[in-house]
Amino acid sequence: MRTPEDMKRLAKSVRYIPEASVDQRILRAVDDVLDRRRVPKPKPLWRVVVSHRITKLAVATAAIVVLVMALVLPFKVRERNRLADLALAKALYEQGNAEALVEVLNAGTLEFKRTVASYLAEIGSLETRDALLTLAAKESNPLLKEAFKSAVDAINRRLAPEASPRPNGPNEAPSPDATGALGSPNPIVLDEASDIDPNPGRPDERAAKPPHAPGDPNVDPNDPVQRLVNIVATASSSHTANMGPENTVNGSGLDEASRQHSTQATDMWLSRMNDPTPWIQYEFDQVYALQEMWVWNSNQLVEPFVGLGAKDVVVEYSLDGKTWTELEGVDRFNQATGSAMYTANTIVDLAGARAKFLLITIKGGFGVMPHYGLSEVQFFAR
Amino acid sequence: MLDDRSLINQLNLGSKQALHQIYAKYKEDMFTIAVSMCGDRELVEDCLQDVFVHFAEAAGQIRARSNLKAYLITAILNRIRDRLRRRDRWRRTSQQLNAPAGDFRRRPDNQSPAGPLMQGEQNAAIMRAMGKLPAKQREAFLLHAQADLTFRQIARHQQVSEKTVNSRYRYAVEKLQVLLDREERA
Repeated sequence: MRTPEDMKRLAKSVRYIPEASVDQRILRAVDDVLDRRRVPKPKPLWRVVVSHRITKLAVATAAIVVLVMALVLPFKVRERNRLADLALAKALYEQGNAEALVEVLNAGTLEFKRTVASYLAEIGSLETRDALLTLAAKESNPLLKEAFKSAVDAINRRLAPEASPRPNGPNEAPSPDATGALGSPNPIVLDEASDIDPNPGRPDERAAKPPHAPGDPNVDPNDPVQRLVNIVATASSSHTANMGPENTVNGSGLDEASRQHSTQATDMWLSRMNDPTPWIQYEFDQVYALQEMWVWNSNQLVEPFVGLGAKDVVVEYSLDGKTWTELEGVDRFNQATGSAMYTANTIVDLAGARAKFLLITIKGGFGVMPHYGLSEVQFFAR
Repeated sequence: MLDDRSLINQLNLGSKQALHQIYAKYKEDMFTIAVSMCGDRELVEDCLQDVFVHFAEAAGQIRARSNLKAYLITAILNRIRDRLRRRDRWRRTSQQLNAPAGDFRRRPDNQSPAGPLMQGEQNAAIMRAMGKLPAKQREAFLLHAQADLTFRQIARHQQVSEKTVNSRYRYAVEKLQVLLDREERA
């Protein structure tokens, strides 16, 4: 009996070989086929690369990136241009270059134009006013028209004293609407007429006010709470002659019924630029037990994006203008809306502090401009 | 001599030399198995030519992955099976038409696949014995024993499981043992 291995060996021993003539016939046939056939050339490298899926993926990715860039870039560029425009306008404003500002007023967004208009309101000349009038007449956007007109008004008011010089009396209000809000014209501190305070520094250093005896017998805790009038406001500096501290106590720009304050720059106080220690001081006609202080922060149109309002503050009070007590727990005023419907949004509780003087020292503002202001301040006391 | 992969790569580039080498390398295995299976040298010669002509026509697109030997052997066996089937059908049609029987009616004579290179009585005996095996068992035996194809490769060709190929091979060996024993005793 043979083993399976034997069988395998047996099978292997069987060999058939085709005859040589068959070999020749077959090889001739296949040679003919190969001769007839045009064997395709291998793909050139660049086609292999182009048709590779990684290449396709990369191309698709690049296309998407380009598409996204094409969609996003215009917005980015526009945003950059917007900021650059605003920066330029601000620079011109700081230089007081009203003519150049009028020129750039033609271009830009609504926001930009309103900002420029508010700058012009502060620094514009008579020619500026005329240019603004022309623009306002041509303008179709009611918002812009209003902004231009209010800028024109502001320039008018600001330039009025220059246009028709008149003596400044102690009881004269800086603008017609500033009178009567509190029932009687407020005393105005006239030594604030210049931009730069001739004698900057803390009020106590100046010792401008006569000492006031503490424990004034006039103050009775049972008196009803009243709003104080006849307040003398002084400040470390003013941006322009018609933006003095008196504007914060004379009711200018404040609608007595609605308690809304205007956006007119000349209805407010604004310190001069780069004042090292901006402060504003209120002197009452006698010692009061102070209850509340209502603050309308600086409310120019540019407030939301330039931020001239006082933010970080120190509030101090004094009986004599020399010895000051800091009011604890008050270090911040709220920002104004920059609209003509703005009402007081900071109410400081004075907790019956007895004082004849109140001093607000401003440590910082809401924006980048190096000066700060307030629209109106009202005091309630016994 | 180059390996199969390089030969196929060169053939894909149109090299006649490579195809000649492939032919020289595998013609004997292909021819032996095919003749052992059908016993018809003429038919096998035709099929061998067919397979290589087709192979040449496919030049440029042949993948070098599969086992070339198994591929070629499988190809020639399939072609022979197709030819036999067609010839069978043609024969039946002819009979129905009462056509005179032609030379093509000659069935492959499995019991005496005698060739000029047949050596010795023992070879004749094993070929006779193999002729008595069922075709599938014979194929499994020849592919494994003669051409050294693995069971897996045979399974793929026969389209059955490896296990089936294994048992076909085992049955074939057992039957051949019995048949050869009987012949020796006789």
